[in-house]
Amino acid sequence: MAKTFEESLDQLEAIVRKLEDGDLPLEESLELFEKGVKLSRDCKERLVRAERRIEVLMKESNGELKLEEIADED
Amino acid sequence: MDNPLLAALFEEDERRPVTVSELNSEVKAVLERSFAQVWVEGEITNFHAAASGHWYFSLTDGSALIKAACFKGQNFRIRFRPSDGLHVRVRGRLAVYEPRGEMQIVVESLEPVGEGALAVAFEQIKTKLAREGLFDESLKRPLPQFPRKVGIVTSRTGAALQDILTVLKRRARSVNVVVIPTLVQGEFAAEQIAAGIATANEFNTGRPENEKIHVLIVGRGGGSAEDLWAFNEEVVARAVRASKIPVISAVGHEVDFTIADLAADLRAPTPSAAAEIVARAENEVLQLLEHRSVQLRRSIGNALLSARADVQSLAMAPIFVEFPARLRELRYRADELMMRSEDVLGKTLRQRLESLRGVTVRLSPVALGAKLGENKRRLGLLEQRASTAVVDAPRRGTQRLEKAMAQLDALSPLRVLHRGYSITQRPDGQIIRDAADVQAGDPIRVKLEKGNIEATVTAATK
Repeated sequence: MAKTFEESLDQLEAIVRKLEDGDLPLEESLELFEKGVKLSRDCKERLVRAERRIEVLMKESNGELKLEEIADED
Repeated sequence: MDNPLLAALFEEDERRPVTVSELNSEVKAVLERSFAQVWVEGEITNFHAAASGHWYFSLTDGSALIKAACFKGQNFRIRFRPSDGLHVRVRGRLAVYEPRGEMQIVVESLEPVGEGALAVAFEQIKTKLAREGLFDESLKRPLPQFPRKVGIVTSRTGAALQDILTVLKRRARSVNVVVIPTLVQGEFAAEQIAAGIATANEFNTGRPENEKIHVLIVGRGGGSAEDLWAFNEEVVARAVRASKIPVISAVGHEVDFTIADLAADLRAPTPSAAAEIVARAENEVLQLLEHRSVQLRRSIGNALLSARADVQSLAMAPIFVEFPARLRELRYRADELMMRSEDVLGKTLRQRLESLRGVTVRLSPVALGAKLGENKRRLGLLEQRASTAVVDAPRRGTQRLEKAMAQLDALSPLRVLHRGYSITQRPDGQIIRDAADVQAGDPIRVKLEKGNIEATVTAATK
């Protein structure tokens, strides 16, 4: 998933706009539709299925950044 | 009595003037003992901040004046910067500078009269940074539409972090969190907060967009004005402004307003509210996705409807509608012709038979005896031909008709398709008759007797 979430959203919006403008051959419309459905499903999965990570970012005395994951305790 | 001053007064024998040093020393001892604690109110004049870090000024009530000094070791605690004309209350002690015989108040604390010191300090910093344009609306950046990762610059053990995590847990399951722990009160807090903001930005450097911190929450939970002071310091405001990551300030409670709030891209009234703002983004995106889904389905529905309408109008095309009608008409005409041909042939035949019979009767049997045989034979032949003609004519007619119908039938596009031929069209329905009209890669539609095949030209041979 190289695309960022926002890129996916933008792409989805472009597809919707293209479809709504109409005048596309049916085959192309169907293709776009399938692509759009897949994108929106992917986006939603990324929202709903995502597991939150909580990390602590610290700058060491030598100037290096240290990232450390901590538990998302209740 | 070893006090030389008193001795000079009472012991006439040993009377001698005291030295200036002795006098000043004695005055110093007396004054500094008597005025070890002074609390004085007045207006500042001649304020001067020396390069050494000490402050020098005078206090006046209009008719009297006293000098004052506030040394570096004390003045760092004073949040605001004194200036001429400011009405202040000063706590300190009286000090005498022996070499010059001058006295001054050594200031330990200094507080504006009326407004609190912090309020004055706040106004001063605000005025200064506003003049620099640090709070300009034009500098405010929009928050990312959908932050995937939120950075939180606050105390790792403070209430603010817990509040934020609680809200995010409930409302925004997909948002990742990076905590950048700092002190949030005390002498070093402001520097740490500023450094924390810088660290978050450094973390983003060179990272792919997906992994970056998309928004920063900078704040702490509620506390006294003094507790919250770090968020009023210039260094924090500058770090907020220098941050490439948009910043939401979230300091204390609703009523607490800080310089950091003014510098931030967005002020949240509390840390929880900051988390709500981030969470709202997730909710909005979910709604947006839902909306897009509906739009997708609606537009494909429309496309399908219009395609169906196209197919229907194609089915109503003259060729499909008129051909069967024409066929029926031809059939009627053929039937009619056949009936008529039967009539005509039958009548002609009967007439000829009649006239033959007439001829036969008229001819004498003797004279024509010989001829009769001949005629009989011819008649027989004629009869045979006639009956053949009567029988054959309709049959031939029918055959021709069937042939014509078969030819017509063969011309029907449906028939052609039935025979295994197909019609090749462009996606727009135009029929392709010439291989030169297409190129490799063109999408084509092949119409069969039953259904269509969508295909792509791999090669076109001319």
